[in-house]
Amino acid sequence: MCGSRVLRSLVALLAAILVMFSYPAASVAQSTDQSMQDRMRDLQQQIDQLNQQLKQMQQDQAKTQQQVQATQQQASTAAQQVSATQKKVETADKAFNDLLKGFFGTLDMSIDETTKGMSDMLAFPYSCTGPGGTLPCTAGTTPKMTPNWGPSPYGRVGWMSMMSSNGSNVGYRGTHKIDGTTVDFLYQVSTAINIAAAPGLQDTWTKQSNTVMGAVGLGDTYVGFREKRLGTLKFGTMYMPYKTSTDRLNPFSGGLGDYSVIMGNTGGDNRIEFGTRADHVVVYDSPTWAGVSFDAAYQFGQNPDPYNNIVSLGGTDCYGGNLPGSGNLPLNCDDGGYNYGYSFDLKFEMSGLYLTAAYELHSGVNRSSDGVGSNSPIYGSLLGAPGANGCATPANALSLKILDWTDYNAICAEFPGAAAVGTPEYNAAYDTVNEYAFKVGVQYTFDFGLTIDYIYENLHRDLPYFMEFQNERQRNGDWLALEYNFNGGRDRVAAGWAHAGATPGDPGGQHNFNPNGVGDNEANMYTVGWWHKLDKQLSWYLQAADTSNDTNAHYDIGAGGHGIKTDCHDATHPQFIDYSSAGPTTWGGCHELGVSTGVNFKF
Amino acid sequence: MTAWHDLSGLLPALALGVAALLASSDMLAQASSAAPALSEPRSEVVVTATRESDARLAAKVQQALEGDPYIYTGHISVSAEGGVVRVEGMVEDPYDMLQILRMARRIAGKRRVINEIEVTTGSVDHD
Repeated sequence: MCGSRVLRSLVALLAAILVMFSYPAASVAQSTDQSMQDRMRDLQQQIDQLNQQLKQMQQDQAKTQQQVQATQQQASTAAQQVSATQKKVETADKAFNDLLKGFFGTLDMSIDETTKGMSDMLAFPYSCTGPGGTLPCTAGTTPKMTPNWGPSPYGRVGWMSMMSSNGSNVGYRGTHKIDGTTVDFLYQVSTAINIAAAPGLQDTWTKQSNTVMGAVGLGDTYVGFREKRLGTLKFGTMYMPYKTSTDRLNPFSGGLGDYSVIMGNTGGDNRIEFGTRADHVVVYDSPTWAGVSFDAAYQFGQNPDPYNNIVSLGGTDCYGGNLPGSGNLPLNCDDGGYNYGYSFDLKFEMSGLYLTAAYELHSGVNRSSDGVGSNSPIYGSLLGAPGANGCATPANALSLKILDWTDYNAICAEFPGAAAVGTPEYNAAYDTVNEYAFKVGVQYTFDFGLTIDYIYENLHRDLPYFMEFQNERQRNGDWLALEYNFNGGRDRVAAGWAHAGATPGDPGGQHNFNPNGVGDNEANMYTVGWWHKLDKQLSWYLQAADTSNDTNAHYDIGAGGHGIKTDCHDATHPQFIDYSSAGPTTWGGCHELGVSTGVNFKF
Repeated sequence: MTAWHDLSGLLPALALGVAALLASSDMLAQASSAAPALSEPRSEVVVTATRESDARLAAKVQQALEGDPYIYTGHISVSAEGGVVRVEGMVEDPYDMLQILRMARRIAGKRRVINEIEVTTGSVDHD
């Protein structure tokens, strides 16, 4: 630009000079000599040259300007492309972060050292029919040895080291805003995984499950809708409100001392009847109004069998955590299978105080196996013809040696004449009744790190009076826990106690019934633990639990989330049958004890 | 050229004028929208202040939670409305929920904290 202006100025100056001098020069030329004309010609040539140079420079300048403009345009395009790329990267990053944030899970692995606490036990002899029987027992007589006593538990029932994957799971959840509404569509898929063994069916020598470990749907899996002011509605397989209402009162969740060892657990063993994930369930979670909220759930029964003795349509295992084969009977649902269920809770929370009440009902729960299968045509016939009081006679029962007929006789003796085999009143219809549970819980969280939890629970089974002899599902329960965190929340310690009240029937009556301990079926579980956080997501823990059963109770340690339960079962299986049952013998009165240490990672 | 220079010299002034005009129109719009509130100016001021305070309060709680070295908040979000703090999301350990609530209450002070945290447990509980 500057050069162009100078050139223009120069040309203008030369032109002016030419004009100034050309007028007088012309008149002189006419009158003077040729040399003047030559000079004029030279000057004209110079002007022409300068004009050509000027044109060339202008062309060069235009070309340069075009190049500059092209370069600027290229730079601008490149900048736009960079900006667009950055936006794409940012959008992709956000989408990727959102995607990642949808994943959740827990990986928990422990090493346990536990004992069933029954290695020194001896079965009561078959001839021991108990009070009211022909051969009263002399329990407590020493020495406890065969042939005066029955066999001892089969297999390794003392201290054992184990590796356990506890409550490990992986899932994905997300929301989708429905256009033009204030409603979100919700979805979650989840699976419980075993990080200590290969996945597969949960078949063991105690039961046969059709559920595949590690498959999607083994954890809470649902679709649903949420509106901020109206609440949340979910459809799928989920825990029901009765369980979730007090999850926060369980500092030992997934550990040996999980409160589910006793709370919500009817009859003992490892299953949590009122705390099991439910199939085909719809759950409503209300919003919170002034600290008050509630949840309600309905579980579709969809079981075509009038006694709910088969797996529900669309399901894999029996409802209520009853795996086919449980109860040492054929692969039916006669150890807790039920039809429909419903559950709800009411919650109040203000500052550190949390109060809740919850109720759950299971309709038509089939407990045929609780009566030693004596209502089953198969096992009834195996027991042989009834004796004088409706019980089997020692002679015909001994010849069969399939079921623990002694227990059955003892139970008959406990309720004389009430449960005669083949009598009209003892049939599947009467052993398929409703079960329900009610509980209240309170938690107080102090600012200085202490938390106190208490739950009172009542479990009930609606049996007619003449069936109460085998009602091992009805009792009260208590849970008390203290939890204290210190070191800035990095460490916490906790202690808990759970108590199972007495049931009308004896849970231990099926396999190792103590006829001298009728009604002695309470249990206590004590547990302590220490958790140390290594960072936000990773922690280490050390826990211990001790379950002390009365002589006719068989609660365990580890129920409700710990991968491997230590229970009162021995290793009896079809190849090593001890003639007291067709499956593992459950030894009432066992005293489990265990220590567990492991790591827990959450994401 | 000179004329263009002059014009270009006017451009900033023109832009300034347009900006001033837009600003004044925006102010007018604000003034017109605020006009009905003149009858109840205090409530309008309070609403504005509460919104700012809610945002600050929620951010403060969120930052405190994220800043704690032992509280996992990967699936937790915090909001505030009318001075009431709402903590939502999911934890997989009841202890995490209790710690989150403790922290939220401490930061919120006398303000109420609504707990809408879901505790999920991944147990397999067959017999």
